[in-house]
Amino acid sequence: MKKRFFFLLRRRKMALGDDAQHHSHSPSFLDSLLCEERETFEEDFDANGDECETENNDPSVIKSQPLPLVLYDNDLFWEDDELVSLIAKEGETHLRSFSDGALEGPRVEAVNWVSKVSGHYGFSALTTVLAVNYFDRFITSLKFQRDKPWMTQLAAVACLSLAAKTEETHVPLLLDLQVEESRFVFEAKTIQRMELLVLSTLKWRMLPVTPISFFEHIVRRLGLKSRLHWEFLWRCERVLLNIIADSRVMSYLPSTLAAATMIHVIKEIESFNATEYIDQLLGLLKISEEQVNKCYRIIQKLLGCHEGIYGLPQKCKRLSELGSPSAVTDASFSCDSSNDSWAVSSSVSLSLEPQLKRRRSQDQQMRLPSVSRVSIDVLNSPH
Amino acid sequence: MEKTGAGVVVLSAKEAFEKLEKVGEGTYGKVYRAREKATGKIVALKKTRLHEDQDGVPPTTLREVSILRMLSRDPHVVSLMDVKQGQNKEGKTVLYLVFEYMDTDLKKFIRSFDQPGQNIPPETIKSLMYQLCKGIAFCHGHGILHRDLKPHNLLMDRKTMMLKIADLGLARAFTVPIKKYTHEILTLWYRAPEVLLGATHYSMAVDIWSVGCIFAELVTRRALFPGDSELQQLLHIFRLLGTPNEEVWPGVSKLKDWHEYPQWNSQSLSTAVPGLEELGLDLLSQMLEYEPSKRISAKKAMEHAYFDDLDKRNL
Repeated sequence: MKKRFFFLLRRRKMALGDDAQHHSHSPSFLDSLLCEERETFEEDFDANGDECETENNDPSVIKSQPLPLVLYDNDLFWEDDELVSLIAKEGETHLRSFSDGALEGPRVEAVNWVSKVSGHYGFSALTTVLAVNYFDRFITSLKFQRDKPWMTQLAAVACLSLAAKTEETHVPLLLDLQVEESRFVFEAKTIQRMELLVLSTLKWRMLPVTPISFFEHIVRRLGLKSRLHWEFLWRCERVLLNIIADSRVMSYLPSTLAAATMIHVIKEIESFNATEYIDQLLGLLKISEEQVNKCYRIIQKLLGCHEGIYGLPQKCKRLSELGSPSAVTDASFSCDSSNDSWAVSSSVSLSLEPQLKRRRSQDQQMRLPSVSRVSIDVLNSPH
Repeated sequence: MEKTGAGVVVLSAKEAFEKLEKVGEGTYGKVYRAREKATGKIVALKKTRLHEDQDGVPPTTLREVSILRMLSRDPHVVSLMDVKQGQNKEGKTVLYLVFEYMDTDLKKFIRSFDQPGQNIPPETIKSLMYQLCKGIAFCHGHGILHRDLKPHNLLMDRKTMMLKIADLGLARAFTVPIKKYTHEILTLWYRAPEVLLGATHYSMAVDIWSVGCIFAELVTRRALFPGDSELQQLLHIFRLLGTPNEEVWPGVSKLKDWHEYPQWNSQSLSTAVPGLEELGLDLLSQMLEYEPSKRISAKKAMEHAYFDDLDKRNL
């Protein structure tokens, strides 16, 4: 059964910090992206309303256990300060455009390689986006020697290594990073020298504002109460990973690209009531509707559909059909033997739900398959 | 000496600085007090060795520098002035992080009050605590967890009594969803109970626990929970604050390293931290809440009534 999302626009009262004061927020898409499933859950409950527990020894039936979700009120930045700070900083490490068309081919090749390796190791979407950000800033600098055919790949390896060290808890050795049809294999000391060249070229500014910064800000604004907010974040990340190889979209400011991406996701899951939410999103981010529209059109073309941000919804490839590097489309669940907890090694689709037992509660913690190693093509799971 | 494309001459660390003395040693190398030859300015040089046969630039160095590039403008975070590259005698690549020089740290400062009955003045404690909360609030506001707060990592200027957060080698940016971080971090004495009990999903509250431990240490001049193993560390905490249970800390018994522990009732904080005023005890109790979600935030701590009579103009 296809999930249907309904964004309920309503005031949310949020307790801030330790005092008992409640702040009423004016209704906005961002403060109230409360997704609700209009579905019956009767299949999961018996006549008394209790959950049915059926004994099943079939190994194909995936049992589940909760993923610890620890985000505290103290961690949520309800103020607009964070948004102001993100918008102020986003220009510092952003490339306006790629003036050199000769870089386009090598860039696509490098970004696809980065995406595949990220998928291979289950890196987060942010790691991939950071690696591409570093790569773009580096190859457009004067220090990049474009006449050497191996230079692009060496730069890609160094940028992915740096991104993984910045963001991941477990980083493969430099030699192990060179998987997924690498044309050249570089020694560790060569990669290290390139890492240093990249770092000095980028002036060690390795924590840039990215579109994901804005996705995360918005998910924080949602209060992180519903599992479907994770679905929203996950979908935004998937769309971003599917368009990142195109330098046209990457030339837009992160806030603009984030807005266009979120609009795509909003229209996909709430196609008939999108206008009001789009207005509020643009208002909150205080960005040019014209720029967002341009960026949005490029995204639509890349994903095989054509319309403006306020246009009538049109059939285009759904998230489940997007063609991205195959390795990125797999979310790997791997067992951390040290503590028997299940770690999601990349951003996980909450659309795994058809394989899991549905829960009545909106705020139920996300559940993951408890098997030693399962690789699931999350993009092809039914919605 | 290296000439850049723009004709600017870039000096190596050896050419630019004169090492004066070694002042410390870290995981990846030594820390020196040095003089910048061009200006005569005293700086701290943090030397980082790179092992070419392994993993390239160490993640700790990468995180520390990139985080400081973002945070260094705050007066309560140590200022990173430059990163220089050089080679050691064996021809191996060495990085020098050039920091502003601070003449002491909080550990040495506390130790300097070594005579019996010689306490740190309450107004000094209040000022240092406010600066610490302000610096941590700034880090947290930029999405950075420090994860290794302890007196040794808090630098000070004796003359101005200015405090600055340093050593962000274990710090990291946190994102949503919060990652499964390693729990083998943070010096034992300042380690939060959720980390000791094996939680790998944690957040800013771990830093606040450390701030609370430092607060108590400023008052008594000795560590609040001086455990010499993870188990002993937990028992120190439980003896003072009581053994936690599901009632006071929902979910505690489900943490990876939870076992059946001896049952203690909570003691009054005033017994462990005598001499701390009532409002200070209230703030401390909020910093040492078992349940991480109930622990006060750095921003809220700055607004606590304990700091009401502090002149904050120059802080």
